[in-house]
Amino acid sequence: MNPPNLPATDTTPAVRFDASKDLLRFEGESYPEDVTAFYAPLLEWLRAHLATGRPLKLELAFTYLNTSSTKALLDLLLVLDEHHRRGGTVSVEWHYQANIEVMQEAGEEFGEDLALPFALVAID
Amino acid sequence: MSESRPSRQIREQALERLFQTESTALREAELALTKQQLTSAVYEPFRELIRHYRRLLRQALKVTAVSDASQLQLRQTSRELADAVDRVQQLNAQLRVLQEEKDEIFAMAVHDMKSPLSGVFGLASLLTENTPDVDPRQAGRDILQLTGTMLDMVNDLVEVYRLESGEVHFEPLAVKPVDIVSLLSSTYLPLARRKHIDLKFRHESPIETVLVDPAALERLGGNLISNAIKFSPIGTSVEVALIITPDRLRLSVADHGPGISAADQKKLFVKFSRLSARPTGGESTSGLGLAIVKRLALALGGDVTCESTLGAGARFEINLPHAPAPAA
Repeated sequence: MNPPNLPATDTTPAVRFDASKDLLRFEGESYPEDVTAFYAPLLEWLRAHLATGRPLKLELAFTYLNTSSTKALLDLLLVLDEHHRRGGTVSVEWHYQANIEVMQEAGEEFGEDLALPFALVAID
Repeated sequence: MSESRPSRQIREQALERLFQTESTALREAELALTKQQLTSAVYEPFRELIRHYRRLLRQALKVTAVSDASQLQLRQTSRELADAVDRVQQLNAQLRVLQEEKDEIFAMAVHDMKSPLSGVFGLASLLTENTPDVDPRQAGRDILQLTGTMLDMVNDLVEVYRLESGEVHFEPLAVKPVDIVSLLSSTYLPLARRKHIDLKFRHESPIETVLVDPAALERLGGNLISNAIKFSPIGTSVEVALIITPDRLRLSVADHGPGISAADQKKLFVKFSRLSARPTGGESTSGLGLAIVKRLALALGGDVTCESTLGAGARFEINLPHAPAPAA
């Protein structure tokens, strides 16, 4: 399965995997019409990647998320958290623009129930 | 203004897929519960739990659907708002440029009016004070000339702004080219004679009459001819030619004055341009004549051009479309 390399659209974020750094990065806005159609293939790729035993660093740089995307992202983070609990090497960084307070709060909410390393990074 | 949204059915299916794990877990729990022989003390609380879970799941689906819809609307509204703000900022920038141009023109107009107005003020003071050695008739003539200059300037200003605001309407009439030429020559020959300038006219036309607005054409030709006379050295000649072709009207005015430098040619048709050339007979100039010619020619669907080499005179040509007049 090809690693994700999706450009941003009006309603979906850019999603890119940098194999040299084992880094998966989401960047932009997320409010697709069919959230499962967008996130399910990514989740499938993620499971396959984790199954190889390689580490994964996830960078989430959203500027806007609707409720469906929030649910899809929570599901994705649960998969990573489960992997971490089983001894896998995963970490998450939540990048938010310092002037968008709501995205900082969203990051805090996402990180609250996770056991994996989760860092909030403010971007100027 | 809302973007096309997927049908309700498609949206509901998408949401159901989003909560598929939870729905599956619920179905399995229900199935397991019915297969067990449990006492009512255990069965009832689990049945109640499943009932509440099902309701909670349904509510989660609804809440997600409602908030997705309102977030989408909010997103669109915020984009429209951002676009509107952009447009307002662009308009503001245009307005600022216009305002600066108006301020500049106001300052220039005030500056240009000040000198003739001071002249009138001085002459009128002399007249009211009965100052000896002042010839009242000469003072009157001077006042007339100065106020005429100011009136011309005001009229030019009004004209240039009327043309810019697009408030001008033209009334094309069937006109004989020979009549245009004779009107221009009768108006400007006396002015040319005063400076001993040989003002020559010629016209060529394969048709009897053309359909043009005679007043606009007279304004265009008059402006160019009076300019040529104004800037020509005494004793030279100015040639005016009116050439009609089946669909174009070309009116050219050529002089043998000092010519116009390449730098001056670039700002020739700009309001209040201060060019190097000065009137040769002490005439006044508003700095608006050629700006009016340019705007008027454009408003008529044509244009005006200038060819000149410094020291070798200048030739202006107005090129307008015209419709042949219908046969009388």
